[in-house]
Amino acid sequence: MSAIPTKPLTRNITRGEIPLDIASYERADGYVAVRDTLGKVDPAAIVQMITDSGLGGCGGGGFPTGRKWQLMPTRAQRPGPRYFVVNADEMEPGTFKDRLLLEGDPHQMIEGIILSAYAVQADVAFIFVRGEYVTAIERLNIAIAQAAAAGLLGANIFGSGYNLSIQVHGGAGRYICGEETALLNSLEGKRAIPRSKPPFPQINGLWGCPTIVNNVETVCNVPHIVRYGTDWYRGLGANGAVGTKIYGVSGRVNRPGTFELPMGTSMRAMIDDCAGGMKDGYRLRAVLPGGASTGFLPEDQMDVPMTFADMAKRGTRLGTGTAIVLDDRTCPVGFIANLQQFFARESCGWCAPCRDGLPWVERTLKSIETGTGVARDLDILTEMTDNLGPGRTFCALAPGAMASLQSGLKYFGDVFRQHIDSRACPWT
Amino acid sequence: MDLNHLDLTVDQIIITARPGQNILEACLSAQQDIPYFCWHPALGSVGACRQCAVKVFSGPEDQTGQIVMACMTPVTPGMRLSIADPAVAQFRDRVIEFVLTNHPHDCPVCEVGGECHLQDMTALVKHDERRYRFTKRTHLNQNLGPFIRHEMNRCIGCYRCARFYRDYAGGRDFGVFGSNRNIYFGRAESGTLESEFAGNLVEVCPTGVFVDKPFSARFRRKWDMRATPSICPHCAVGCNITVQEREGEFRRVTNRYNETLNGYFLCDRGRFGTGFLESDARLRGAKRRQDGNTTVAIELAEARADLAARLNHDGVIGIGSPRASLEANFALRAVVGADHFYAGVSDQDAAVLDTAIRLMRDHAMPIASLADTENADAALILGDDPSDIAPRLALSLRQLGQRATTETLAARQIPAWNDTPARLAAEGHRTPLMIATPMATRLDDCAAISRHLTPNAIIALAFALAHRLDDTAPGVASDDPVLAGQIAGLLCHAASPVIVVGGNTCGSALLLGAANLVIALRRAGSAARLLIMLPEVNSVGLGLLAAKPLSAALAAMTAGTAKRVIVLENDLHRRAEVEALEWAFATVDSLCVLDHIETPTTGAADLAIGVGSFADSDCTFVNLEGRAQRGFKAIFSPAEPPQSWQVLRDAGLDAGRIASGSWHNHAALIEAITIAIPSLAGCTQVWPDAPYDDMQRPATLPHRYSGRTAVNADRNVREPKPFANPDSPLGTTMEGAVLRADSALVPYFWSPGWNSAQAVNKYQSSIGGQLASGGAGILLFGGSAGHTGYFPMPPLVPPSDQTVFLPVTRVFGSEELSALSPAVAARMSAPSVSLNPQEAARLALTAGDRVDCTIGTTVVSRVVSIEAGLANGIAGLTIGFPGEAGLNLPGVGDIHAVSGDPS
Repeated sequence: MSAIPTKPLTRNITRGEIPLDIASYERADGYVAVRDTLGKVDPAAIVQMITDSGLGGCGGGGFPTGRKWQLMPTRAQRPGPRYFVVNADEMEPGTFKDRLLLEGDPHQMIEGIILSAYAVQADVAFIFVRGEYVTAIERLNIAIAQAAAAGLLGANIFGSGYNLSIQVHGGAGRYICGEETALLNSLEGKRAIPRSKPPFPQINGLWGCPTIVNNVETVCNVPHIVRYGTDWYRGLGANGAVGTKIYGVSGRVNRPGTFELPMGTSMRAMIDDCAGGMKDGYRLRAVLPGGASTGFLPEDQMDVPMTFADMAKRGTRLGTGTAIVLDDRTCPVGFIANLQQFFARESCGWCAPCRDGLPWVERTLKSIETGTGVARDLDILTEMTDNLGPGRTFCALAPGAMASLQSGLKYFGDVFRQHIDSRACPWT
Repeated sequence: MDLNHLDLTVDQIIITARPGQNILEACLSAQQDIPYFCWHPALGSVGACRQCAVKVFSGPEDQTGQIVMACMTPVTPGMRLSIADPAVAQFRDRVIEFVLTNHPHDCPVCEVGGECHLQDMTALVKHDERRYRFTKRTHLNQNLGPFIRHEMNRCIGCYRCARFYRDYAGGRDFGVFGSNRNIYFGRAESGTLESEFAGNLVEVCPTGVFVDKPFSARFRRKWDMRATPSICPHCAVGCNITVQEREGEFRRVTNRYNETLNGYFLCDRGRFGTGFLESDARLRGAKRRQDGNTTVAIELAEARADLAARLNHDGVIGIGSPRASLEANFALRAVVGADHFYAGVSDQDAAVLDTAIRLMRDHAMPIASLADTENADAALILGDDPSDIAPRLALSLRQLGQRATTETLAARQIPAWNDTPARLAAEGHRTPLMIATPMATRLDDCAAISRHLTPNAIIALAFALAHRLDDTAPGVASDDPVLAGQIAGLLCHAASPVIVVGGNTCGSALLLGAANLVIALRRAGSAARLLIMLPEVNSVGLGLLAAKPLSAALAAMTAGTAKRVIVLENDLHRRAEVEALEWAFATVDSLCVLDHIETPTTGAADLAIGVGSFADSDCTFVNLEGRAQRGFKAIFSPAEPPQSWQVLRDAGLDAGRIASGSWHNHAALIEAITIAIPSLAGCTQVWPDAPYDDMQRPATLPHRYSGRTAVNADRNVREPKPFANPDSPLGTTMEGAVLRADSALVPYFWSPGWNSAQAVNKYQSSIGGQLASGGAGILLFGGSAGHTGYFPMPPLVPPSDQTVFLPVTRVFGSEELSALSPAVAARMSAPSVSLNPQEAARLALTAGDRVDCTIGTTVVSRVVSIEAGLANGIAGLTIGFPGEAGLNLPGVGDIHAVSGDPS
């Protein structure tokens, strides 16, 4: 066994290098977990192990992965096809962590899929990759071909009686495809609109069959948990959290990028220690902690640990864990308007509040930004944050869009009023 | 504990719901209004519009509650919820405000203004302010063909059109494009909508995106039209419709809900076919031939006297019609005498009809309604494609074939109304729909088994299936034991399967095979039912008059025993070969034709009397289930045509052929019918308690008909008295009885605050259920069966060396009356002969070639179409197109290529 890693997800990734081929990957302890598991370990034991590890969904929800898997009916309960789907449609603005994993270590992705699919007894896996991730798609296909040639995929893998094939599907470019049920619709060739839940995909998923959808980063954790155990995994975290997380930051910091850090690292530590702090002449004003659909964390709360629970306590969400920094030389209204333009465009058009409410929000913000706002606009915007909020719309897209607006109105209300009163943007 | 009901508290009111309902269904059923857009009782819930938000409280202590969508939330015992809660009321108001950001507010020039669900819902939430201050999105419209006009700017994005057209009706050429606020409901490019159910978009759309195009061209507001309940005359299903008129002019047909038949939807032949009423082909007034080829118009009184004079002679025969009402057929039968009354249908149709009536009446076979068929757990279609013969039935069968099995939904805990997951669950778990026909059907895409066999193989299959299930049934070896085993297995597994059979291509033998199958299934303990597809609106009614077929009439004419012929509402050129018919016409002394359209038969008559159509008459039709239903005179004008039965009565009285005082009104005629024909006894019960006291009659003029003076004020400020119809239980004026109490008679669905077609919610015992007063119509045969013995298999037609021609009906073109409607005529394709690729190659023909087909003495011209799956030696021949001669089909004959340019 190689040295037990402390940064398991990125241990094989070197900036600027091509990823490991299968031989190198196997020399680096790769696929050992697969060889030790298939046909040798009860799939239910893997599910239990993942449950015990505390691994949570890294796509933004943080839902316990083991509990998600436990909802799969057994083969006896539901004969017929079963699917395992990897959500690699990374379209959250400011988020680029899955790309690193897909491009940097595709065999880690494949190994994670084999173990996860085995655990839930799925026989076909799909990787739904953001269409622009051309390199990732290319590298995944090479890795799949190598794994298949090595007998890691196909029928009766290592004589275990277990069959698995993996297909890579390039998305056609809609943000909503990151929503797992919209992703399934898109994969079926239907319009990418979300499905109502319940029933959940485990019961009525891809083509109506039992289906698990997991994020790239989530699945990439699985080989390491299986290989090195739950105690090791839980011990990687900080501030009471478990495992590692690929955090990231963009904006006017000195070294924007992604960093694998113990889950629970503080925001300040990431920005100051990993990203080298703010650029000269810029002051940090607030941070969107985990992508465009999370609410602002103001500058006085930078010491909060980056965990799902701690962010929720501050009224925001960890999301994807890749932060966007708002500095003091950028107009918050323009910043939010830009986000709302994205969400209004990416609304799938299925439910009325999102489809017709977001363009109204976008136009109102742009009107304020360009100095044509009216006093009543703030009341309308405030009301929108309720009426496009959780439970009001069909899926989480509009509530996600409202996160920045709602927290923006809370923290930067005076800036909005200044725009309206002075009929101009103070930053221009 | 009562398992069938549970109580909910809605804003302090206790309502009763059924387990399995959602909150929206439960509240609407209890007359608690909640606004909605994307939900439709037949299309289920999808939770898209967010308009039906209500607040649900988790327990007695919960004061905050949670906003949920009523359509997506199942009811639970003791549930407490609020519609009026200010927060949720405000949210519903804002949802209206959202969808109105793009709506053009063009109500004054919109055809749907005044019967618009969007207007109703806006008024219901009391939304009255516009805060959106930016531009609206706009769209280009498409030309969607002769039926539907497209006004996309009005769209509020409820998705009901796409869900109906694609998911429900199986159409593929219409859908939703784009995303975000820029969604577009239409086709990939301009062009005629292909689905024969496209017209339902008019009623499915909650606002004015899809407009009835012919109606738009002769538009009147809903409240400016007189509305009368009627029965669609374009096939044997007998869908319930409302006919609306203004100033003596037909305006439009809309669906009239009937839970057992058409439910919420009509086919386009029914909705747009009635345009024949205003076509140039209408026969108006009376005409008499004067030496040779000239005809002169004569007064009705003179025509009646002429008819009476003919009746004063011996050798008078009458030829009835399956498209004429019971009243008209019976009147002719009574006037000429039962022995001299003929059915006016071909031998093939007569044999099928006779067998159908024996099965339904004499053997009391249990007959399925359309609702029974839709809700069955398996169905087998034998012989004919319902899509072209009885389109509405095909739509019901499609629902069965597309639906997940009940067990699948139960195992996944998916309520049937939860449309998206329920449709998804159907993947690999569809309710079995099985098809054995000679040609491809438009239901093949949702069938578990779809096989295209020769007629003999289909007949053998039906008998073999019965024998396989019960070895006491007559034994026949199936040509394909594997297929028979598969079908028998699926039928055995079903608790209430339906066998749908048609005799057009396979004849009456197949009906007997289907009956054996139903008997065998019932003996095995299932609640199997039969449904026989018959061709015309009153085929069964005519059949019950037990008349000999047209060939017997022609024989009597050529033999000289029938000298004077009276033809009722029938173009005999469609029923018999031209040569035989013209020879018979040439031998008789006189030919009198009563009809409402000009046909080759009226052209051959020496006395042609223009009579009322179904819309000008009180008429009873018996549908394919044996359901007697009545439609009422719906078009009123000073120059209105007489009803057939009245003309025949008056002439019969003059000639002393019926007792004086006979049939002084419609009720008396119905009574006479039931006395003469015991199996029609139920006809007096079609509306037994219909009020005949003027003030008790339901109003046919809407309660806002007040514009009647103003509409013509540029010409005349006088308010004309509305026309009365004393034979009808319906009133003349705006005043009348409260409609709910007598809702089977309701001419239109309209309720305070509910001005659109969705007002039907207010007339049902529960949403999607029975009309509060029960369904309209009376089933004449109380099928119960079980004790019926099996039928032996009739000898099969021996194979022929020649091509076997089978009749192909087309939804647009094959039905006589609708083909005269300009909109339907624009949808007709060229008459064709279909061949399989091998057969076409053998004959050296390719698609689009023009050929002559010779069957017996008749030659018809056709365009070749290639259809894979058709058996060798078989050709499908479209029939019934306007101006075409009758053909004896099925029949054998030859195909010859026609050289040169067809034009």
